[in-house]
Amino acid sequence: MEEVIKILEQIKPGVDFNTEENLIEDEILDSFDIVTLVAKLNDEFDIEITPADLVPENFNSAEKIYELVTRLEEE
Amino acid sequence: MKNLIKAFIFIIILIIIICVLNRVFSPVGSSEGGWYVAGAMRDIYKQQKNSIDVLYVGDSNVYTGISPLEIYNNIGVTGFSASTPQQDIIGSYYFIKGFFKRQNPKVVMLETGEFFTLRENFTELGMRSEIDYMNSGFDKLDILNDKCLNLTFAEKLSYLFPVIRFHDRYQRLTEFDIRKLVQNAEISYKGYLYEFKTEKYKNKSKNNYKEYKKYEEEHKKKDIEKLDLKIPEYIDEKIDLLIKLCKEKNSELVLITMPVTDDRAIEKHEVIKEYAKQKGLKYVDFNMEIEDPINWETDTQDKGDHLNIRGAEKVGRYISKYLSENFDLENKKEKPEYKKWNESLQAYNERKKEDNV
Amino acid sequence: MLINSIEFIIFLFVLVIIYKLMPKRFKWVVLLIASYIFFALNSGKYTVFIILSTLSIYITALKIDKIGNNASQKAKAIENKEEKKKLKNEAKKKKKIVLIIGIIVNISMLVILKYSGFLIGEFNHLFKINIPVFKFLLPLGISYYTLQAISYIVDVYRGKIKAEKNFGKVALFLVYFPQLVEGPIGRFDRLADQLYRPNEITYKTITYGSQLMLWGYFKKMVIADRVAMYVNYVFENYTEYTFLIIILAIVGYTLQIYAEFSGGIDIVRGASEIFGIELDKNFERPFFAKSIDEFWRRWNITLGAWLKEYIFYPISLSKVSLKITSISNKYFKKSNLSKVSAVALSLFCVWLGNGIWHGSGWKYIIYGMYYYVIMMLGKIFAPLGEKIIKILKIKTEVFSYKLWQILRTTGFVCIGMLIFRADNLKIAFSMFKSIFKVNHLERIFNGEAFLLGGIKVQDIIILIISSLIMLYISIKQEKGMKVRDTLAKQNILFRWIILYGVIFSIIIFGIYGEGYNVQSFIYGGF
Repeated sequence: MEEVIKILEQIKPGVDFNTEENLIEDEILDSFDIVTLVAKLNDEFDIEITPADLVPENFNSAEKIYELVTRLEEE
Repeated sequence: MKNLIKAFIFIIILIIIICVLNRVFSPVGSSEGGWYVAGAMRDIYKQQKNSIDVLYVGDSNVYTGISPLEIYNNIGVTGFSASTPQQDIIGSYYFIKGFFKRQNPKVVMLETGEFFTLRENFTELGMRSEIDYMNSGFDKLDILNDKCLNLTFAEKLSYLFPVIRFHDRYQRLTEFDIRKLVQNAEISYKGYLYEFKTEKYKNKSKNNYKEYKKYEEEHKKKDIEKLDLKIPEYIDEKIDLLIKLCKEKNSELVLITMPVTDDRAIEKHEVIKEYAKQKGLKYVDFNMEIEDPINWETDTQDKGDHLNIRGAEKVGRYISKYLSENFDLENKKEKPEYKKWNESLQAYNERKKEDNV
Repeated sequence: MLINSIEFIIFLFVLVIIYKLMPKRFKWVVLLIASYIFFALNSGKYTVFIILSTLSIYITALKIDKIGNNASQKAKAIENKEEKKKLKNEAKKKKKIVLIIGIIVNISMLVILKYSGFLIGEFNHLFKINIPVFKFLLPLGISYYTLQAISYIVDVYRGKIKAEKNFGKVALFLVYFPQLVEGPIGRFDRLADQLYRPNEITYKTITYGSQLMLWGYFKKMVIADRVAMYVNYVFENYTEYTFLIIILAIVGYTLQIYAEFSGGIDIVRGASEIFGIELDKNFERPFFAKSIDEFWRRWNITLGAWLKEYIFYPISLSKVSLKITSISNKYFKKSNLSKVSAVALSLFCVWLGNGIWHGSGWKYIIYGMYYYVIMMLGKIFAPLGEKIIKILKIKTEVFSYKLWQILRTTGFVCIGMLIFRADNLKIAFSMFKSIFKVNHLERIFNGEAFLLGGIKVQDIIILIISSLIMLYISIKQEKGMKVRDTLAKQNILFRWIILYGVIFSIIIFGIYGEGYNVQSFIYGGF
């Protein structure tokens, strides 16, 4: 979880990712950020996030992102 | 339920406003250009029921040349001129048909000025003027659905709702367009468009009567087959319908030709004369058969195209004479039901007096 | 049948009655039949293409689902984790092949019908040969429904939705008539349920729907078609004009296309709303955007979203792209450039796709590339801009700065529109140059500059007033007002005055019918 937040802060400094729960709808992360984020997550956790996973529900908060990562790690 | 009523009221108001806009935006009878003249017959549907004995139908030559009040003045016979600019036979047919629903004219005089007009030469001015004046819904639907006109759905719609066609007139609306909503025809001349102005014909010596006499001598043996003038089929069809209609209504259809300066007037006369004979119709041509001819120096308002009031007076005399010689029509002058007619006549005569006619 | 025709209104009216009277089970069938009638009236024998498209995605989706189901059933029986994974990967591969076939079928129909003329022409030009070019008429909305078709099978592939087993229902998803004219591009997950369930047509759906339609007609007929008179004239005679007139024509065209496109969308969304079916929004006041990115999130939204989901993300996450990203990460470290290079390829594909989608021809490709370059430059120089703002102590939260951002964005968009509207690139470029030339200044001062192409003073007044109304409503919406809700709360008198006002503005001030050459008739004869 901490690692996820660290990556997020690299991408978009100055946002409190512990509390934000609407990263996509509030347009805090745009599609470019998402792409950067996914590339980093893939590298960091050795997973493969596919376009099918790119839905707002998976990226709206740091927690949601972490859930996605753990799910993919298990597979 | 409440909503249904609301919607209903909303639509009723919408329709009312659209009807008002139709009147305002239609140029027919407005102050605009050539459209203005159609205003002459504005009160055709306001005439007392079964009060008209003679119906005159035709194009601009009729409403500028036949003044029913003139004839009423002479012999007390009531008439109305249901004529609009460039009126084609289709318009004439439906005018007559519609007229019979409210009136019972003994004589229907159909002018032949448009007898050689081809179907493809109909003008919008002509069609709009006649159709817009068919006030009551069903006459209008009748003519719109006539096969000969061959109107598309959108065109029909635009005839029913002239605002669709003329909405851009918002740039040219005058107070006249608003006034025509509330005002009845100012003074009813029974479809006659009064004009006093004179503009003489350039060829002052025009005398159809003399020319025709000369022609008759030269062509003892008439050979109209050789002429390239032909009455189009669509006109023939409608004439047949009219003959049938008039027979049903115990009325007589008469073809008339108004005085013209047309170079081919004689040839046209020959063709129509022959045609009338075939159909068993009376035909009277005010060009060739009357010795006291129109004076094209004083009797025309626009260099020989249309007659003015002086011309109309003369034509009125011919028609009066013709009607009393050929038909047994009642003199209504003394009848109390026709008080209104006498009032109209008085106003008409006063107008003439003002103009020193 | 155009959506701004009386026939469309009658069609809709009859459809509402039939839909309302139909038993619940058949309501969606009514929509299907009506949509096919609508389609066939417009496209005639080309209707066969949408049927082919429907058939292809119907089969593709079922096949994909079947492969998936078979694999998971087999997987249940297997204990070994490794083997399970292998089985899954095999299934995935198979599914992918089926998907790609499905996509190719749909794309090739689009390419043959829409782009073959251009492609063959270029090919002939390149190799100095002469392959005959077929001129096809386009089936109605092919650019839209093809994208919908692809999104459907991709979504099934991704497991986002289940394949629909009823062929008629798949057909309705593609052919649903309001979205055929100019979008919005619907998605199965949001649209399908609404289409198939029996919707209740109520007083509210009728009034709300027709109000939205009215607003659309107003924008289209009063604003767009009017300003088009000026725009068309100047673009036709562009060599004669410079400076202000060219600027007016370009800005006018931007206004025209916005009013026309968003108006058209309002009409079809309104029509759909009557049936209780809400189509996706396609516009969200694009001219309040403060950047080009934002503009494209507000303009033709459903196209942008489609490109994002089905081109941008897949390409960004493709092996090639990821490789570029990890390499650039090493080189540029945390700098902005690593972020930019990560999307360089996928963004290129998006804008190429966007350009080509708009039409066949080089100018559309350039149109796409124009936005690509602007966006990339924007990304590259973003940190620089921030630095400048810091150094100069520019306040960014004030109105004037926001206005500057909006105007800057609009300026870029207008230039894009110039490329889009001009007959070819040469003309676009030459018009762009003549903006900076000034001659015949007197035309501006004697008003001649504004009265081109049959525009009269009255038209200018109407344009100004109606554009201000549009602006006013946009500002209110931007602040969160729901126009129709607000209107519904007003007293009946005020509400009706507004509605009659809109209706009669359209009837009287709309540009339609032959009225615009009445003058020539009137003196035709007496």
